[in-house]
Amino acid sequence: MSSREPDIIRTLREEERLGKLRGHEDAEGEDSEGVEEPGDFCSICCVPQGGQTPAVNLGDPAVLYQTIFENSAVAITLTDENERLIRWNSYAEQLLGRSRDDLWMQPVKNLYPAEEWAKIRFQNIRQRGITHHLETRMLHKNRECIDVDLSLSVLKDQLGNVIGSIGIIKDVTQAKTMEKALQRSEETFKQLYEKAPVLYHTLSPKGEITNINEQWSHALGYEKADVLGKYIFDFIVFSERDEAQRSFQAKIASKQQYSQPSERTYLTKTGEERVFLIRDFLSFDEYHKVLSIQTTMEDITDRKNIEKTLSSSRDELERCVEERTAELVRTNVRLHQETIEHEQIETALELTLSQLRTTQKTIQEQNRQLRKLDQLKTNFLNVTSHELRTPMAAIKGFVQIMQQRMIGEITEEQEKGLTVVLRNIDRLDHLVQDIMDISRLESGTMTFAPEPIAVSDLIAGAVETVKPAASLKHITITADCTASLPALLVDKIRITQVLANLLNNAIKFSPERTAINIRVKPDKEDVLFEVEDHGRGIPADKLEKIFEIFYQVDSGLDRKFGGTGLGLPISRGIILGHGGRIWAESTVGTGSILRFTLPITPPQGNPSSEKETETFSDG
Amino acid sequence: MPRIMIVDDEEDLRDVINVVLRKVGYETLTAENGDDLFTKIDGFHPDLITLDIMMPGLPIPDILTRLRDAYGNPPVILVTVVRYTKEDQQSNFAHGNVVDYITKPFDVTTLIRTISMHAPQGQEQPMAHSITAAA
Repeated sequence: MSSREPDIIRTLREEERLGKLRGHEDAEGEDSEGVEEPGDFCSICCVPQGGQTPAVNLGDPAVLYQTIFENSAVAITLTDENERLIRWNSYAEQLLGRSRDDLWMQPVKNLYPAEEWAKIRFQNIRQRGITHHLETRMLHKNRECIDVDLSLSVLKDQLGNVIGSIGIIKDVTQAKTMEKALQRSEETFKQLYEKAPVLYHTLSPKGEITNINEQWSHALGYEKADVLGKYIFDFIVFSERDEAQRSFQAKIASKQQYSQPSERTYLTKTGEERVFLIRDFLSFDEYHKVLSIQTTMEDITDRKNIEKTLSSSRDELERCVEERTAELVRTNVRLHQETIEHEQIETALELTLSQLRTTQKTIQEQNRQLRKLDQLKTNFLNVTSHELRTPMAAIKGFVQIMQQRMIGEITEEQEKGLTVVLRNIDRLDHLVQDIMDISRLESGTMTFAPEPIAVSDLIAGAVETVKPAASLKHITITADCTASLPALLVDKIRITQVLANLLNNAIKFSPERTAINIRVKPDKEDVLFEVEDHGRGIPADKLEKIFEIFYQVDSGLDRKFGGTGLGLPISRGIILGHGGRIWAESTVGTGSILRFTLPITPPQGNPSSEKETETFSDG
Repeated sequence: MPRIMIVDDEEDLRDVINVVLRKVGYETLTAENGDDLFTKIDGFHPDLITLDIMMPGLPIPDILTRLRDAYGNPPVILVTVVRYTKEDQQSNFAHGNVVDYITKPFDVTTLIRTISMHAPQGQEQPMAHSITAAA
């Protein structure tokens, strides 16, 4: 400040130090007189007389000082001992907006706002005449305040009495305004820096943190004091640290003010990893040396996570689409194959169908022929039966006619002979009957004519048939059918035939004077018939065989016991045809029990499906 | 005295029936087939006819129909080797008046019993009666 002091002030100070302010008395004198024309400053100024000031000849000092005083770029005011304005330069008038009349002999305090003046006075008193500087404000004529730097020097006489003061006033309004603007700007910048929603940090060219903003502190969880002076790299995840350092150094070396944003993962105080988008901005000094690095950091962790999720979702979606596409392709291929297979199957089916139609025709034809053959067979059987029985009937008839003496008397021997003939006719008739039945069973042409019939009637009919044979061997036949039994819907003649067959069989194999027992009882859905004899019995391995055709013939039993041996096979055929079962149980040496069942409710349409008919054709 | 007409192509069997029926007192006339039956029937007016079921010539249903239509539908006993149920009679012999059947070979007693059931006699004929072959 002192270097910029006007020379005149320095000179005045010198004067004051030497106590040689020559014009002092004059000024006082003039003051007392109350009247002095302004402008004659030199009259109170003294030219130094000592040898301390270099002797430079600058002409008349009064003129010199006057020139300096008037042309000074600062306002200069002088007051008397009563603090009234007595001298000032034109810059002062200009600065304060006041004319000479406005200023002359005015108390200097009028130039200051009251509070400023109080400060100046206080300073004056406290510093007791020492020149001092202060920033204060002055009043323009229009009452506006002007910011000024005031350099105030108190003038004293040799006795130390205050005789006046010199005020050198520098207008600092502009500077103040600029300073304030700068302060505001700085404040704004600081606010922006601190309160910005992005993270800021400032680094030294070495990478030390010199500043961070609130957001930075908030986001990473560190207080400003924790991080200042530390290396920024210490806050980056380990895996990126080296790369970050290299990148930072390269940036410094490149001296590019801006660089491409980069992504960097930082560790928060709690150890959480956050990803930031980093933008560096280099500040340089006037020698283009890097001063600092300003960095903005944008937290993109969530975005990255969303991106990752999206990417994963997209991948998942793509995978799904791929899978679905692959599946569709597979399905398509399969469908295609299936279509081909279906077409092949269809073709095959058509072929098969055509073959089936042909086969059907063939079968129909064969069926027709078979039916014809069947008919022929039935006819043959009927005709054969008729042809065999007709002569037997004639023989039997005439034997009986003779035996009954219808055509004259016969001798006892003749009658005996006729009896033999008759017995053998009956035997022959049975044989023919059995052969016919077997033929019908074998060819499937045996049919039944069911009618409701009581069990007792069936038994009575059968017993009646076998009575002569039983009598010959003195065999007793007992029947036990006391249980209440429903009437059966069966072919009466055929079932009687079965019972007679079983009884004949029993008689044949029973010793004389034994008993044959018939038992009939209900058995669930069936009626169970039993024919028990006390004969020699049937070995276990023959129990099934006795129902086979010609077993008896084959086994030679027939020759010993008589009969065709067709009775049991025929009986089995008839019982099976009625929906029943037939079997034998036996203990060798004790006797046998032959059993068969008949359903109480006969199977639908079975026994009576076809009527046995005799053709009315010519033999 | 009831008149029985015996129709059978087998002469021997015809004779058996004829002998037996005459013996028990019936007036008989024999015929060897359907055509023969209708040749002889006009002058005879049978009370009952025994009809063999298997004969050459006219079929049985035709004979039955004609008997019914032209001769007052006299009762007929069929002589057969196969038995018939009532249902069969109703279906196959519906066109005629079939009253019973005799299965060959038959017992003489069965024959007499069956015939007398459908043609009862007024009185018994003497046993000694000569056999007359009506064929």
